Amino acid sequence: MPGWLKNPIHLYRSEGVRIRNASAGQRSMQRRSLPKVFLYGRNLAITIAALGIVVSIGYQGAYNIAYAQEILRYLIQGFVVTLQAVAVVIPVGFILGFFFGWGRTSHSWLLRATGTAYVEFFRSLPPLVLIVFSSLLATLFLRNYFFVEDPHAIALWIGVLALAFHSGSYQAEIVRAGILSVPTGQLDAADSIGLTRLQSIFLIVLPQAFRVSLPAVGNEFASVIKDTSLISAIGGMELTFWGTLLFPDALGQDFNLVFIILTEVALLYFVLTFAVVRTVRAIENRFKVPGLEAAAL
Amino acid sequence: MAEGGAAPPAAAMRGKGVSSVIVIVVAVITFLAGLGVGSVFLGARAPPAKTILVVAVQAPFPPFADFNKTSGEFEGFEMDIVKLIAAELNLTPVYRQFSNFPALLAETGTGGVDMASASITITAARNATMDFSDTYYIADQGVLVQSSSTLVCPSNDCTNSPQTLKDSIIGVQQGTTSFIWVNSTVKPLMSDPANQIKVFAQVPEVLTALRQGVVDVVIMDLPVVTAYANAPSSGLKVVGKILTNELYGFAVANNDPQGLVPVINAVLSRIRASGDYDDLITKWFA
Repeated sequence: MPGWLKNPIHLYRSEGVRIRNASAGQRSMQRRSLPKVFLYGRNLAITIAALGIVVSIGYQGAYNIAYAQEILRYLIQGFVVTLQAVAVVIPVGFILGFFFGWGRTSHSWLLRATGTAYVEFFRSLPPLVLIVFSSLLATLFLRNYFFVEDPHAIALWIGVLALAFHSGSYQAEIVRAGILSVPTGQLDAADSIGLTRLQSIFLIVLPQAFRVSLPAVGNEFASVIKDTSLISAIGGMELTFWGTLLFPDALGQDFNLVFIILTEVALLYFVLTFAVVRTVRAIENRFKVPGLEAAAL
Repeated sequence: MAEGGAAPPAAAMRGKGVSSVIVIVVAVITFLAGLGVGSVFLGARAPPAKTILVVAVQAPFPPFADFNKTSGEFEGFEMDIVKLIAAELNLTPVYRQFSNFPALLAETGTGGVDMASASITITAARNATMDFSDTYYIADQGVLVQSSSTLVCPSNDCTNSPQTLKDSIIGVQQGTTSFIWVNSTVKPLMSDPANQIKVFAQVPEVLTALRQGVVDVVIMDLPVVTAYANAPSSGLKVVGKILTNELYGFAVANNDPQGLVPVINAVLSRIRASGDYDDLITKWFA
């Protein structure tokens, strides 16, 4: 019988099986993990079972499942817009955060000052104020100087970009923390083997800084996905907005339908956040250096 | 940092600070000069003829404004009037949704949209930042509570009895006249106004809070609260109205640069005289 089946606890613990009859050192180093197929299969099976339970209690009348299905097609429309906004905010925010965060650790006064100005400015403004203000400025500029009659579409994306700038300011600090966490001995060692400043930054400092900052970056991604609901203030018809659009109908039929709307909106946000966070975790595992972590979880 | 070919010697670095500042200053001046030249080119053009009328709305606020999910169009009492105004101007109406009421007012006043049709009450304060048309609807506020509430206003009129509300937790939408009424009339009587007045950004949030019991009382436009209370199994009732005689008007940019107000007023007086206005009231408020 395979090792992972001898003791059922291993169905729950995914980090693997200790090898018996080995020395202490060998035991800690040799952890054979469960076959990947089994891991993904287990998680998928649990998700499908949970979904099946939720749907079946719906059909048995615990809640109005017909309504839940009916509103899903509307909420998906909002979900698509949220996806588009997130697809802009996360990459732009990350790139901005990376360059401004890196600049903040530079030897050049100018780069440091630019980075600090960017971070302090965009961190101190509430995202809603940023979005509304930038969208309004863009609308007025386009209407009065470029004579665009309805700059709504462009102004909406300017608002989304403003949100990306806001997120970028937080990510700049995360990147700066990552860079500062690399010990200066690394730069000395790089110098001693003859690397130039730029080479040592690209080959030694940034890879390590990237690995350290990934968990915090994933945190920021998860946070900014919810911040995209603010674009409804300037007309983005995203998921939360569609949820509120459905409220009058729900309140007109039965108040408890409102809970169905809110739960579905929450589930859709959860799915999106989970996908993004899982991707970041996969990247973390890709860059992980086993044995270098402080806590062996 | 160790020596040995890594950084240039200190003496060579001395001039760099000054020269980089000079580069920055020259760059900024050149950029501003470019902007100046550009604005001369851009400003000199005449604006092309208008084809659309951009209207700011706030949905959902039935029956004034709503978003029809199946057709993907905005519809409501206000939209019907806007269609008539746009037809008068030979333009196509294009609706732009704002979920944030102060943002809507700001964009209207500065001219980001051509006009706003979002149940905006004409007030002196707002008149300073935007221009209004004639009134197209006179609204009062309504007091909405849960069906189980014991709150009662004498003869269903809470206008002159704010003391009935002084111990309740009141929910209002931000930036609205109900918020102003509560602040001016009920707040002085309250023992703990900071916790007793709850402000929400959007209408659905206010109503959910009422249903949850987070707030005891909601004050909002009378037709809207009546519609919500009359819905089956809503669990809400209207205990009274507050006669505020609020005048709804269409808002345009400050000082009406496009001259829309006379056109709107002409359309409104025309539909009132011909009876179309009464048909619209019956269609949306019956």
